[in-house]
Amino acid sequence: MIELHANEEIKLVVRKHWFILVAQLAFLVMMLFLPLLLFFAVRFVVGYAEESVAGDLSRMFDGGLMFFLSLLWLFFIWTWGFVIWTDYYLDIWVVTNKRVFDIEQRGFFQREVSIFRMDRVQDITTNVRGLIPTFFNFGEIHVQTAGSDREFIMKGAPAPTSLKEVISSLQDRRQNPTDYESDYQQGL
Amino acid sequence: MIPEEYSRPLACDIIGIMQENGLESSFELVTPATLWLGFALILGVFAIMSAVLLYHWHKYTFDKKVAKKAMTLYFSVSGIFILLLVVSLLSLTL
Repeated sequence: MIELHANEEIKLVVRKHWFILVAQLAFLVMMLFLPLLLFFAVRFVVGYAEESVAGDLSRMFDGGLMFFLSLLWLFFIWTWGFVIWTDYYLDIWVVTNKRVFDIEQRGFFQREVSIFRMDRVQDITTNVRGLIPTFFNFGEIHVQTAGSDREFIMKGAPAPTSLKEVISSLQDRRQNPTDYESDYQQGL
Repeated sequence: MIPEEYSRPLACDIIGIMQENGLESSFELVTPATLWLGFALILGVFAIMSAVLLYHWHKYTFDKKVAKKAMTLYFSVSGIFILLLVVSLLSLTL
């Protein structure tokens, strides 16, 4: 997972806002009704098809087979729902008193872990854009660090302003010389 | 003028071909063996997906309790689905 230094403690574990997960799952919920649509489509086609075709279709999609196929579809949706949830659940920012771990799970076979030190944070920007993000209070948080061109971004961060405050206050504490003294004493 | 064989619906042609080959209708394509084979394939895919999910929940989770709850929910509902699928397959094929 992540290895913490001596004297380092986790202050916050941040996941994307629940709305991001709900929006992704909403598509799956809509897909749940696909068998019903197919059922009505078949009924519609049967109404217009030649007698032999209509007979075949009716038999092919009779109650038993239709039930089996619908169950298969639900089973697929159920499994896919967990894939989406796992992707959401493993995508996190871990804020400690010294560093921030940006862990990004891209699908199942790509996992990116970036770390930035609190004392190297130069600029933190938040961006809440749009009706839904404003209403539910989520948005982007950008962190720029010294000596790196890379910007750390978390999209869909819940309460980005509060998160910014937390990181800023932890950064301030890190830049307090007494902290360094205690770190040296702890042998960091 | 469109030749008659092109103006006929495709489904009829398929049925015609099948009848020439001794199959009375397209319904016969869905044999019990096909259904069981399809089901076995799906179970295989499910097993692979479950293994991948389990690996991620074990290795990367921050909260073991959440992972355990997710596992319990996932496997119990999936078990019910598999049971229902087997029952519906048996009722279709026996």
